[in-house]
Amino acid sequence: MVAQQDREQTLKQQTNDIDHNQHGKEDKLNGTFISVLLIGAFIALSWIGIFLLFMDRA
Amino acid sequence: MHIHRLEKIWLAIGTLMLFVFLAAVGIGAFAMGNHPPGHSEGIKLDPEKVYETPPFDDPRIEQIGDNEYNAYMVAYVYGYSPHNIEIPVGATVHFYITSADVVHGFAIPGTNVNMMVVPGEVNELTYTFDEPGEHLLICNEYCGIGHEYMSTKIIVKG
Repeated sequence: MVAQQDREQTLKQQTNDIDHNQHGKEDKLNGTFISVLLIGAFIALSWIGIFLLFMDRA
Repeated sequence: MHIHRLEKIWLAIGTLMLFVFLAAVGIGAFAMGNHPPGHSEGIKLDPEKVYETPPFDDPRIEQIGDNEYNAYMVAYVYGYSPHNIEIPVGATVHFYITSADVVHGFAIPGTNVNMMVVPGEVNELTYTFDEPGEHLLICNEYCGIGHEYMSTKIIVKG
């Protein structure tokens, strides 16, 4: 009986830990966000540059 | 599903960029008629009988309107027929070209003139030469040992 209670307690604790990691505090993604924006800016500028070059030569 | 706030922002930006790119290309193509400069006419001919098939039995440039020309050309190892084309400034030239042997290229560096020349196909490209001068027309598809010598000139007279 005691062993059963212990198992339930441990399971509850583990579930709380998982919940806490997923929803408790958000990960800091500021660096990732800036990296994504830099790659996005590179793609956008390359695309616009090639498009304008094509239109200029048409 | 939980999505991070910053992740939502970059997903939105990425999706927006995709739609802007597609809209620019789509509107350009369907509303403004911007197509890739070279394309196949869908005409098939026997590549072994190019010199017997009109109009390529007589490769030439002919005037069809006010400063508008049709150029019927044949690419071969290692040159173009007719050689050294002369046109007046402002001329609009419709190039029709096929190959008598292997795949060749047809490009004028610094312009949008760039297409493949495929045996058995007639490829078409229209270009207006607004500036006087000499344009080098080169093969940009490796076609054999003399590939780098394969060129001709388009002379635009002012």
